[in-house]
Amino acid sequence: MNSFRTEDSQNITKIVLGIYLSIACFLLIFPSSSFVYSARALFSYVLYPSLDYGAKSEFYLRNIPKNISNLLETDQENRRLSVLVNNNIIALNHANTLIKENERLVKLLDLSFSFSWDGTWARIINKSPNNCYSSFFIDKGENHGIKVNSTVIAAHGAKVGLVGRVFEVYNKFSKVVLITDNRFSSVGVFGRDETESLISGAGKELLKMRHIPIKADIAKNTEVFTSRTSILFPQGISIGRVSKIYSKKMVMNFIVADLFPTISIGNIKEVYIINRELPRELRDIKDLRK
Amino acid sequence: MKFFGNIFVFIFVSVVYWLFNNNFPLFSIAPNLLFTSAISLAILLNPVVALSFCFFWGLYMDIMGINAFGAYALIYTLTCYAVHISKKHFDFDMPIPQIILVFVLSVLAFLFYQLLSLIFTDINPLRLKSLLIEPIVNSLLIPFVFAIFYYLRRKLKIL
Repeated sequence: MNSFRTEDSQNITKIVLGIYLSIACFLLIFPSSSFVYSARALFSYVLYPSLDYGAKSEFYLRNIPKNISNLLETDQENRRLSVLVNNNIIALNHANTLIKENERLVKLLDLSFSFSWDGTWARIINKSPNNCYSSFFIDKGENHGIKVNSTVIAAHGAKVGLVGRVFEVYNKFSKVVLITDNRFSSVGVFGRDETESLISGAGKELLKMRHIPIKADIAKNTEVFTSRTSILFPQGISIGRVSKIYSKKMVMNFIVADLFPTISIGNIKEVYIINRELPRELRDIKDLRK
Repeated sequence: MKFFGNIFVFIFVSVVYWLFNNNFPLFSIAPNLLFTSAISLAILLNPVVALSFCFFWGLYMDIMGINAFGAYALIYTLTCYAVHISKKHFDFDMPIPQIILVFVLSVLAFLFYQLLSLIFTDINPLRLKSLLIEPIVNSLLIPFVFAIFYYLRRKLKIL
């Protein structure tokens, strides 16, 4: 009885296998009607739209009625156009940025015609966020005629001010030490009497102004310029404006003040390097160090 | 009751397979959950039910594919029958024989599908990356899939 059942079961298995294999072969060999193609195309398209993005879409859309294939092609075109629109939006944003940059550069160029110094514009290529008040790199170097200790100025709107000096020069780029750096110091003048004081960086946005005589003609917003007695910098470049005077912090009859730089360091994108012949003693920095 | 359980399992696995392939492919390769499920059921169930599962899952893949219509149905049915024949000689309840079985059948199924596509539709669907990686991924997946179906059949009595 058991062997009969096993044999029966095996026969049923073979019959079922035969039926399924026949159906599969039938589907493989005989061409389907357009209705089957349409149903299959729509079903697979809804479930697997990514199948149709490839080069095989023409094959995929074969034998399908025109209205169905139009529907699928429209969807594909819509996806392609969406990508295109997104790319165009990115390109448009880029173009707007370039237009704004162009406007800024045109203003700077116009402004540079009014400069009484020869020089060259350079773009800032690297600014470390850790010490943004210390130094940055520019895209001009020895190949472009940049020399060590050249004066670096910048413009913002109609304002022109001192930014720093060239500290290291390489073939294609240079390092600029900023007026806000701790190592920076220079002589500044202010007022009608051209009173001199020592300007130095403090590693933050504001500069320190020291050795101001008690009776000096100084007040808040007094503008301070580079001095003619400065060896490194040409005279008359705006350094900053007095933001706070510490009249009570007197050191040997001198008072101290804070100075807000004319050019805010964070806003600078391009700088102007002044080509200026330094005094002979300073031309070779190595000799000076000896 | 078992009939409805079978229908539920069929639909559930089909949907999970679709979700998995559409949303979680790694480097555009996803484990073939339907293939591993078909082999697991071919090991666990009686041949008629297992053949039905495999045939209709193959048909489901054919409907979703763009190539030769009926190719997957044929391959899955033959795969199921091959497992049915070989399980008389090997014990596929252990993970290692399952892994070897799925690896060999994955490669054979891949090549057979390639052959059918070239014969019936003149297009070459071969993706070398799939051929090299998919059998390995399927092999690694089979013990887990088998364990789930084993639990459904023996503990929950759904299948």
